[in-house]
Amino acid sequence: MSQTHLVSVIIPTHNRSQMLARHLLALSRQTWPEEKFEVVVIADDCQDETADMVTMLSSQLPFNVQCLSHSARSASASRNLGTTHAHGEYYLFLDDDVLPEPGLITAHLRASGENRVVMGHSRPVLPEKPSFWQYSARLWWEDTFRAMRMPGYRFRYRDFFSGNLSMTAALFHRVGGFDTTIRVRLEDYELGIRLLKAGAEFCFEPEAVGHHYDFTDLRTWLQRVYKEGIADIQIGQRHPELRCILFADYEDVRADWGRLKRLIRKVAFSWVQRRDRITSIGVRLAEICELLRLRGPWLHIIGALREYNYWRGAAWRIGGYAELASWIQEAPIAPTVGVDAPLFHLDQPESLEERQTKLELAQRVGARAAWQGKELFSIPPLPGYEPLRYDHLLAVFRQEARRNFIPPLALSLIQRKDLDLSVWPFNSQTSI
Amino acid sequence: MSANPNNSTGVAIQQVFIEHLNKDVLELEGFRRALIVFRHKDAVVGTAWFPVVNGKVTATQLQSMVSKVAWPVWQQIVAEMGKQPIQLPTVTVVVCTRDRTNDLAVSLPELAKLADRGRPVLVVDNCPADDSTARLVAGYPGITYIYEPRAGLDIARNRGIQESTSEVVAFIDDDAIPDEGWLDALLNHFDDPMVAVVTGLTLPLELETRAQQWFEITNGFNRGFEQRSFDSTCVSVVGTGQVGAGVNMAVRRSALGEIGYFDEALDGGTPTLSGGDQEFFYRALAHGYRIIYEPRALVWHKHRREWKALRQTIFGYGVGLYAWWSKTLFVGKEFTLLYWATLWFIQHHLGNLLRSVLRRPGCAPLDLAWAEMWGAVIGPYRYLRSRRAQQQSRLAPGVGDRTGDLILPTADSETVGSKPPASTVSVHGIQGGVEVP
Repeated sequence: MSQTHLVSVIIPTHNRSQMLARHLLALSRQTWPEEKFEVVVIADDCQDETADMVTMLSSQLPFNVQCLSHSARSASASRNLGTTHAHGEYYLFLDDDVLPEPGLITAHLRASGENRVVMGHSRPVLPEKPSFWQYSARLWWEDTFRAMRMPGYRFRYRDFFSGNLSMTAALFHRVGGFDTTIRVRLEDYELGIRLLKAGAEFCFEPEAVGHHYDFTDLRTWLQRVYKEGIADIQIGQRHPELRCILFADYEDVRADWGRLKRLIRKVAFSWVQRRDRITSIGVRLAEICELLRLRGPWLHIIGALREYNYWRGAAWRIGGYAELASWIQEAPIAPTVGVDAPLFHLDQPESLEERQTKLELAQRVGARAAWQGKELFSIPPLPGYEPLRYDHLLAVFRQEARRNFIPPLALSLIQRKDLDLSVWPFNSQTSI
Repeated sequence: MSANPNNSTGVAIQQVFIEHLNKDVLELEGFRRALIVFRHKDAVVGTAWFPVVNGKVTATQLQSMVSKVAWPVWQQIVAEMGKQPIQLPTVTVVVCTRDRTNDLAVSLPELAKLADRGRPVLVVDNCPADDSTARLVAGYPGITYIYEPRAGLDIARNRGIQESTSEVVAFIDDDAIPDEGWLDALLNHFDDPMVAVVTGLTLPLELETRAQQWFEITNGFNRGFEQRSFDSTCVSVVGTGQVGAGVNMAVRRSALGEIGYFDEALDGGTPTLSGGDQEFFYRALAHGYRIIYEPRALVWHKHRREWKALRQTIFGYGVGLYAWWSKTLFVGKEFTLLYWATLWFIQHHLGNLLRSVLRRPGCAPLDLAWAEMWGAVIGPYRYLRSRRAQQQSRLAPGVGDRTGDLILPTADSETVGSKPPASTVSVHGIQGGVEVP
C-alpha cells in the first residue's frame, strides 16, 4: 500500500482527557506520514476539559485534529458522527484508552484492502496491583488475538473489536455504519454481522499494536455481561438467522455444570423484576475467595455470575422464559448438518474446482470431514461466520486431532512411513 | 515402569527409532536391564524399562510397549502438519556451575555447537574453589565465562539474566547435555505473549549405579511425552512440581518485570538447597502467565552417582519444597498452602516413610524416605535462615539489592557482586573477561 491514502483516525472519548492527551501524543510519533492522516475526536457527553485540551494540544500536533462534541452516551453514535466529518479513504477506529505503537497506522494500511476489515492487536496493560479478574482478562484477550493469528482461523462477528480496527470508508458506508439503535453494547458485533453478510473479509494484523489501558474490574465486567445479554436479544431481533448460534450452549447439559446453568438461567428469568442482590453477594464471595487465594472456587463463582448476569440482561429485554422458548423454536439451536452435506477427504487431493463447488454447498448445508475414509467431524452451517474455506477444515482437524482422535489413525499414518505394521498389536482396538 | 534396581549392575540406555521396532536391540551384554528410549524423528515419544536376556531386548518386547507411544507420535505428526515458520526470539543459553569442571567438560562441546550457530552461551561460575572451570571455558572461544563470587544457584541464574540482553534466557544444568533441537523446541513457544516459561524433557544420561537408578525412578525429571500447557486456571499454582524443573527451562526476560527474578534465598548454595525454580514457576503462574512443558526440548542429565550424593539431593528436595512453600505462604499469602502442605506431608512424606518401614513393594530405601521427610520438617526454618543471611549480605557494601521476591524491572547489574559492570563484559563477544580471584 503506497503512502498516498488519507487515513482518518476516529476516537470516541468520554471524560478521559488525560488518557486522550497521551493518546494524541502517541499518534504524533507514527511512522505513517503526518500529512497523510487526520484525527477526529468525538467528545461524548464530556464534563471535563476534553475539548479545551484538544484545542490547546492541536497546535503542537503535527497532524490535523478536530474535536466534535455531542451527548449521545454511545460509542457507535460517536463513531458514526466522526465519519461524517472525516475526509479519509480509510477509517481507523481507535479507543481513547488504546495507546498506539509508532507502527500502528502503517501496519493497518499495509494489511488493508478494498473489502477488508483489519483488526489490530490491542495488548492489555495491567494496573499496578492486578486482581484475579484482570489477570484472567489479559489471558483471555491475548488468547483471543493469538487464535486469530493461527492459520485457518475462521473469523466470526464476535471478533469485531472496534477499539483498534480499520476499513475503507466505502465499505463502512456501504453497510450503513454502526447501528445506533443497539445502544447498550456490542454495537460493534452487530456491525460485524452486517459486514460479514456483505462479504467483507476479516483479518488480524499482529503488528498493529496498541496498548490497552483498560482497568475494568469484576463489577464493571458483570455490568457489561448484563448488557451483552440485552444486546444479544437485540441482535437476534435484527438478524433472526443468528439465533441458533447466539444461544448455542442453551441446551448444553452435557457440560460439567449444565444443570446448574439451567438453574441459574431460571433464577435470572424469575428474578428479573426484582432488585439484583445475587450479583453483589456473588461479587463479595468472589472477593473473599480472592483474599484467601482460593482460585478454584473463585473461577466457579465468576462463571456462575457471568451466566446469571447474561441471562438477566436477556430476560430484561425479551420478557420471559416463554418468549425465549418460542424464539428458540423459530430458529432451532444447534444447526444440523444436512444428510447431503459434502464429505471432504482431508488426506486426498482433489481439484480446486471440485473443492470450490463442495465448499459452496457446505456453506448452506454444512460439511463433513474424513481422514482415511473414516468420518471424523462435521461443521454445521454457521451464520455470523466468514464463508467456509478448506483451511478452516484443516484447522478444525488439527485442533480435534490433538486430543480427540484415535491412535489407530495415527498408526495407519505411521504405517505409511514404511513401518512394518503387520506385527503391531493394535489395529482396531480403540474406536472413535 | 516396573523396575526394581536392587542390584548394583548398570541399566543400559538405548534409543530406538519407532521405524525400527521390528528389530532386536543388540549388544547389551553385561546389563540386566535396559531403559529403551523410543524416538520418532527428533522427539522422544516414550520410555520403557526392559529386562535384558542374552544381551538383547527383542522386537516382540519392544512392540508390546508401542501402544504407549502412539499418542505422542500422533500429536507430533499433527503438530508438523500445522507448522508454519515463525520468527524465533533471540536467546542466551546460561549454564550455572560450581566446582563441577569434569561434568562441564562433557557438556561444553555440545553447547559450543549452539554458540557456533550464533546462540550466545554464558557459563556463570558460581563461587568456585579454583580456576579449573575458568581454564576449561577459556578453551572454547565461542563461550563467555562469567565469574559470580556470591554462592547460590539463584544468584548465578539472576547474574546470567543480567548479563544477557536477549528476549529469552535458556537455562541448562552443568551436568546436562542438550539434544539436537533442544533450544529451538524451547523457543518455538515464545510467540505466544502469555508464555513466560517453557520447560523441557530431561532424561538420564547414564544409569550405571543404584543411586542413579533410584533417582530416575523416584525423582526423575521426566514429565511425560505430551506437550502440556499450565496456567492458574487449570492447575494449582503451588503444585509446580509437575510443570518441569530448572535443569531445562527457558524464561522470557520481558516478563521478569512482573514476575520478579529468582529468589536468591532459595536453591543450591543456600541453606534451602533447592526450590528456586519451583518458586519461580509459581510466581509466573500467579501473575497470570503460562508455562509450557515441551517434551521435544530434550536434555540428558547425569544423575549423581554416589548414594550419599543422592541422599543429599533428596534431602535437598524436601528442604527446598517446604522452604519455598513457607515463603509463598507468608510472603505470597497463598493460604491454601496450609492445606496442601499438610496434606502432602502426610500423604507423601509420612506415607513414604511408613511404606519404607513396612518394606512395602516398590518402596524407597528407608534412608531416602527419612532424608526427604526430615528435609521437609526443617525446610521452613532453613528458608528463614537463608533469608536472614541474604539480608545481611545485602547490607554488605558493594552488593546489590536483589532478593528475588521483589520486583526489580531494572537490572542493577552495576552494583552486583565485586565485579566490574556487565557492560564491560562482552556477552555476544568471543571471550568474556576471564576473572579468577
